[in-house]
Amino acid sequence: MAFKGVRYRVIKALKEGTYQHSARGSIEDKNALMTGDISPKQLIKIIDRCNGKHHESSEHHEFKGVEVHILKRDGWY
Amino acid sequence: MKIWYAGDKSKALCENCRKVVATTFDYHDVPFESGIGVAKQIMAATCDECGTVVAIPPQSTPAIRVAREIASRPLEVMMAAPFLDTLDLAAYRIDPSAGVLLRKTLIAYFVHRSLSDDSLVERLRTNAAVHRAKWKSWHDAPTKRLSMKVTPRVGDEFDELIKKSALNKTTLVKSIVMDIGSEIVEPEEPQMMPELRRMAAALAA
Ligand SMILES: [Zn+2]
Repeated sequence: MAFKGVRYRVIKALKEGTYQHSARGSIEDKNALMTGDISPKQLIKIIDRCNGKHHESSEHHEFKGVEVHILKRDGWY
Repeated sequence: MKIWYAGDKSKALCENCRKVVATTFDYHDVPFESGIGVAKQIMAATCDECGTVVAIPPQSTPAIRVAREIASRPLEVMMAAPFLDTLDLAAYRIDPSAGVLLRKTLIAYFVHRSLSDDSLVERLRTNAAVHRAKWKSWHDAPTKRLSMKVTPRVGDEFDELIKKSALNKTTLVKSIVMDIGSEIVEPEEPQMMPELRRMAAALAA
């Protein structure tokens, strides 16, 4: 999926709270959104400032057919 | 904001089953990966095939914050400024950008190391005698507060070292800071530096 579509869907999910944090049986302390160290609002601001240059996508390293999108901006990942 | 209820169904990636699986929401005890404690009875989705918690919804974030706050223990010590200067210099030498985050890590690291070696415990006791004597020459130095929150595991190790060394909390921290000074601040090429830099890099990740 193209960058603009990804950004739109991520922000929509953040606004509506329809996202879920992935887990492997435990709470990942480094997931700042899950632990509340960053709020969805703050994250939306960062994502808003992303453009195509901050975006990468690839197939998930373990799950065939699952596309992973990575946004990197301002030290956030 | 979407709220999930017990029994709701969804889908997620299960790394255990290595595929997309059907999930069911319910309340579960979920541990922190860092070993900091457990978030009790938070809403989470488990894999319908293997039972692993595979997803956590945003509604659990406030409960996760509270659990983390409760699980961490305060460690507060008052000490003469030169001790805190030494600790901060060591942190600065390891990683100038890490700041006060490394204070806690350094102390935890030295506590952990001392527990596994009786000669190091003995050295902490010697340090205590030395700094009691040194102390007198510092009588003009201001007193500063070292305040941090540690995980239950680090707190338990700290208590164990208090018992083993028979030093009180404040004296023990000062003695540890003296070890940190002689191993990281004073040497031109500290032996521990590569290991400590790797540790700092992992923290910054
Ligand atoms: Zn599974």
